[in-house]
Amino acid sequence: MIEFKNVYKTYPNGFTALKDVNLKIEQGEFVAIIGLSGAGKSTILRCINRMHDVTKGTLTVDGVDVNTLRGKELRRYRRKVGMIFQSFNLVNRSTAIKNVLTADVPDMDFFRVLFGIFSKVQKIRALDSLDKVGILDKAYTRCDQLSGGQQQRVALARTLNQNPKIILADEPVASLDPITARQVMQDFVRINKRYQITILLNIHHIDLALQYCDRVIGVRAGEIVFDGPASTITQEQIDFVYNGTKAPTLGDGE
Amino acid sequence: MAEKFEQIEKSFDQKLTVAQMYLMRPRKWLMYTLIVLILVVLVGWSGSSIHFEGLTVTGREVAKGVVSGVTHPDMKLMFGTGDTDVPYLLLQTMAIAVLGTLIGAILAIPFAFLASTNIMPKPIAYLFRVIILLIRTIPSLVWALMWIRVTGPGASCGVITQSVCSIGMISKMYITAIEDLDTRILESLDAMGCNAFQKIRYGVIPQLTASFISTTIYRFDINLKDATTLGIVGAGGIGASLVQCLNSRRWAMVGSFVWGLMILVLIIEFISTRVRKKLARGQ
Amino acid sequence: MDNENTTPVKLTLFDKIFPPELITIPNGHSVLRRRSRAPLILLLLLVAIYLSLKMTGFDMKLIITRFDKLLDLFVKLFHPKWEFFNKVTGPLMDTIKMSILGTVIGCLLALPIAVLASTNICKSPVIVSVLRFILALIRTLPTLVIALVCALVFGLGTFAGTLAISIFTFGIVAKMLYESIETIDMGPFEAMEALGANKFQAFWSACVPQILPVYLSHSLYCFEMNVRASAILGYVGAGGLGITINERIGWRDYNGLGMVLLSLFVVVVAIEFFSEYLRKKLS
Repeated sequence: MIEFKNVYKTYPNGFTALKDVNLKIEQGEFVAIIGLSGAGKSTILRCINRMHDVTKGTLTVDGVDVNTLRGKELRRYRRKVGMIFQSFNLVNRSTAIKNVLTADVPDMDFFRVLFGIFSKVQKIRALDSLDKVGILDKAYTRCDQLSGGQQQRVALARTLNQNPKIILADEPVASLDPITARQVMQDFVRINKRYQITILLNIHHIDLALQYCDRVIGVRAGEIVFDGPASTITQEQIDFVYNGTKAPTLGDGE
Repeated sequence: MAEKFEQIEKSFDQKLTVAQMYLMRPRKWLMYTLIVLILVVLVGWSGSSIHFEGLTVTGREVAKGVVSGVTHPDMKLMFGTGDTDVPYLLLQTMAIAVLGTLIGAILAIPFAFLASTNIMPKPIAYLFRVIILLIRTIPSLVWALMWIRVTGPGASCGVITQSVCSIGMISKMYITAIEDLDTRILESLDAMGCNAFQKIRYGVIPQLTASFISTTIYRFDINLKDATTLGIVGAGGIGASLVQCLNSRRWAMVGSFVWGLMILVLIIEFISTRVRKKLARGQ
Repeated sequence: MDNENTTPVKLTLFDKIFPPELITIPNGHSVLRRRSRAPLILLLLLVAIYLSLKMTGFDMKLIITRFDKLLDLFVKLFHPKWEFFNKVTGPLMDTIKMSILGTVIGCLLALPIAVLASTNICKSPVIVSVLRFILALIRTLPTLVIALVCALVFGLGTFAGTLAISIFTFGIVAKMLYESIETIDMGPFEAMEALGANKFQAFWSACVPQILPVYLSHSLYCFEMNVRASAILGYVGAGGLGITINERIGWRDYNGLGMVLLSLFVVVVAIEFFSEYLRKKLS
């Protein structure tokens, strides 16, 4: 369970990204965070795995105050929280399986890390992760030879391979074409339902959010202005989240 | 001034006519004439002190000798197995290039990292760039002549010379690879819980290896050609014998050395181009 | 092998000797993994290093123990004899002149040949492959050997050096140029032909504007290399700074050599900056 209690986040340059955020997300929920760019969507995600520090308030994940974690503890905590990025962040020159295997690296001893020695069990598990997202046949292909959708699936497989309880996805489909974007969203739904992994994603396209996610959180200027099931959100509420501007949909083509 | 503005404003009010557009055409010919003019002046200046004095007395004989040597190479030398024959000397030249390139490629790694502006603070990076430039400017022959004082004449001198000379170009190309690093991968490794060493091992090194290997192979190509030159000052390899034969006018031997050299360089160039292409697009 | 998950892959000789491994994961799906080439490459590399060490007799210990000799030399190099500058200017100018003239001649010759050696313009595969082969042969010859032959034929002096640089430039620029010409957009050429222009007209107005900047950029790059290369040609009697360098080393006047190298460094850096600036403007 993720719980934000009166969380504030101010950046060193004085910009306040989050103001008094209160949230409770149960294990296994599939949540979309919507809002204009700069509203604080990314900040929420990055506070959860402590890529950013919280300025004020408490943020607990499974009863642990995230802000107290240091060094090794923090890294161990991050193992439970997978993160997926808009730009995939894969090593393009390496094969898909090598990218997936990097998820095991933090748990390995120095020499195995240095020489890149992975056990048979680890390799099979990595292949299994690739199979879960349906690209087992590309396991030994270099990532720069894969399409955008396939690369995002490798990134998803890498995250799955780390056996996370929570997956944070920062604009995971923003650089994909509409058809691939829908496929990747379906992958997320499947993984959420089958493995009971909590998924939080920032998403730009309101239509994708409403179609695939269970719960929607609307952020506007660092404050949460909507929180409820995707089916109950009204057009006025959407307009309010987007500050009166038209909410972007996949149909717009970004 | 004010009048001019009015004029311009007026001209904006009007629709642009064909004639006006023609008057406003970019005058590129001016630039081209300037380039050509500069070139002509430079060539004239350079040509002034370079005189063609015709063939020397023995020039005709030399030319004839080279042609006859290339067309009638010494076959016994070409396929002999002794340590003054072409195959052995070619192998030795290759050995010099292999070791020189490998040592150079390894020595270039610290230089490249220290001279990369995205890793090191700017003053240190620029200091190392100047050092790299210094190494590059000293001609390889001069390096060889200096190292010969340390190692004495022979193949070792060739190896150490090439190691040092390679640093310049290799580290220059490494720097480009390092400055092109995709740092977003480090962010995701961070999110995964990797420590600094693990981030370097799995985020930085895999990005660099392919281009580093490609650079090294490319430099091997160059070093192989260069190794023949170094022989002239006594740094081993085929060059020494080639120059000796040229000076003592043993044309058939010159022919076999030249053929051996050309064939070796062609083969290596062919292989290196293919390997580098493969590295660039992946197996 | 005929698993539905396996995409058809081209099997190379290596894959036939070491057949790919079929990995099955617990849920029954499977994937083919080609054997890694790394162990074989590593083995070959180790063998090459071992043989090279044997052939060259390279000894790191010797270099470390006698390294002070080089340091002595360096100390002198870094204390250049300033009054020697007067004697450097003449040969230095000769070197620059040789590079300018040699680059211009070589580049002018390279242009038509490069056009004829590009597959997208010259449709005759015979001409293309013959030209490319000749270019490749020219590139295999070390500049210093060409210069030596030129010096023997045309007498000692700058003319031999200029000729050697021209030949070297010709080989390199022609190669770089035909590679660039093959990447140009042929759409405009076809459009011109469709308009009723003949081949030459179409080439002149559609291809030349695309080639010209690349050509100039390659020429400048080659000029940079030539300045550095021509500095040593004097070593075999082909004029320029090399004669001075050779003389200084012969007399063990390393302070004088320091002055020569310093002037060369300044000139090379200046030319490199200038040419880099121009090349940036061209692209």
